[in-house]
Amino acid sequence: MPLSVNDLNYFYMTGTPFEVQALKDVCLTIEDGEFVGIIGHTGCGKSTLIQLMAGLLKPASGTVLVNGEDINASGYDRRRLRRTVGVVFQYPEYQLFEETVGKDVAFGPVKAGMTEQEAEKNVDTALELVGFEPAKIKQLSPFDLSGGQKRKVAIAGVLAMDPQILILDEPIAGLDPLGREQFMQLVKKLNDCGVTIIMISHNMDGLADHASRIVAMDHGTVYMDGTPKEVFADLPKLKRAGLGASESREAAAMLRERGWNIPDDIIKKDELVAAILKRNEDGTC
Amino acid sequence: MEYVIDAQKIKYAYPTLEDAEPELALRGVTLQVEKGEFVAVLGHNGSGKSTFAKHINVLLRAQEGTLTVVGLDTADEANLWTIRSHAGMVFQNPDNQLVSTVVEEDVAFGPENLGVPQEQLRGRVTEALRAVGMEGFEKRAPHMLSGGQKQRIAIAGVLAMHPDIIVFDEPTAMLDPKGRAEVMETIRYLNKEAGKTIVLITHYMEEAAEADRVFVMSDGVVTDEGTPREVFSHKEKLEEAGLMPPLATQVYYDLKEKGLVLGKCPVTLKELVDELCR
Repeated sequence: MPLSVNDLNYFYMTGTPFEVQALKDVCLTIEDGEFVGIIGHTGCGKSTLIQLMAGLLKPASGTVLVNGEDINASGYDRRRLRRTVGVVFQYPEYQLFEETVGKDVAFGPVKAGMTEQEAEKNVDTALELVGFEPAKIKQLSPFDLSGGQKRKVAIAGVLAMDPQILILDEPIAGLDPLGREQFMQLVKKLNDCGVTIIMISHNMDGLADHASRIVAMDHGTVYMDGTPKEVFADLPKLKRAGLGASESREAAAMLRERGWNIPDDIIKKDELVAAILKRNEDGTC
Repeated sequence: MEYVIDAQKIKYAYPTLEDAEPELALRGVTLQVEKGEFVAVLGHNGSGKSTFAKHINVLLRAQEGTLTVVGLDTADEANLWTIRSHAGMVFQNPDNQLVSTVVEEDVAFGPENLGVPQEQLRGRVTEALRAVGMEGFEKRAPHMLSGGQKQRIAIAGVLAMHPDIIVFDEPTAMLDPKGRAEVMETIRYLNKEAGKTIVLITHYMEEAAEADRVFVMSDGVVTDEGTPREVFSHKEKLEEAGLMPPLATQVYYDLKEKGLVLGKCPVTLKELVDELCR
């Protein structure tokens, strides 16, 4: 189910002296099964973009098409959109509210019109996907869980709607290194199952390892768009927008500055280690 | 040696509802920080590091063991306000820490509440904003600033109280790369130039690599301590604590496994590059 935005414009505080244009003529098409990382500094418009993609904001002009249909057209079934496009916001653990984990995860699917049995089945599948044993956790209060567990429950609540497109806004902020890696593995697993992933993140290393495409935003426009290797290769351009690349890429650039003939497309640790070993053996990278 | 923070086997359990068995968040933390030191505390989510941090300015009070801050016993109620004027704290989310709609009023809030005379307030605000590189923003509205700028305003608010110790609880977790760099630059300045004792709680190994000493916490106790190089070279201990060494150190070990041994174990990218280009 492809998602595209066309000539999208959006303003905040319209009609006041503080009016700012958050998005300027943004065009972007995301195909089925992609894993798109969206990067950009604070205020670049990336959160506005995903809220428009999910139909939570209405554009000043331009269209958002999901499977070719304009989601802002009159008569469009917004309820179906909520099931198709799932959104995980920053710090989703603060959205938990029900008495038990089971009820919390079931809230979305039931509201979206699934029968109790259907919802029950989806709840179990979603909880298993994020790594819980449904029977063990469903009766617990979400508020007795650790931060990392709460976040997984909140995500299960979105997954239980069985979305085809999953949008995540900085989902790993505040997680420890192991938690970050486990979370990225989970997102990767969903992507492997065919879910399209659109993920805002400042964690360039995680994106270098897992994303299939990176979109860099700056001043409300798409600033760079390509594979992680393509985008991270142009380090000076990233720096001009207040961004950086993965640490391995940064290390490779530092080595190049010191006279090493090391390629520009090294973005992962394994690639960096291999290039260093190769140079050590035969003097070339 | 003068310890400005001296924790001896402190224990703490959060209150539980009804008769549930309380679970210890701190199971005997012993940790000492010297005056002017920059220490980092690492640990997985739920390791107790934030709980410990809240003991330093007595937001929480140890139920067992002793903790003195600038030589004052935190168990003594009479010391509470003196300790808080010596030890300031900066939290993760800048939006939860800013109280005013004007930057200078926000920075003045802390010292004003400590009873600093009106005529000194202006000077303190100017000085604090200068220290965080935010002079010229006095009349601006905090909510119109970037994350990194907001966090620096929050730091200025703490600085204006003239603390000797500043505890940072994951101050960069919500910031973009530029904001992170700004806040780390400010922390470095406060330690090296302004002589503040810094306790930095973080999940970022690159940030911890800049500290004089690193403590690793796991399940409510300190499981390792030393210079960043010492701690990051204890690979198994780190893994047991649910942590990973910084990239430079990981690369060092990967190369070693493949038979290429570098002179010393690097903890920053710069050190790695220096070793490789030697």
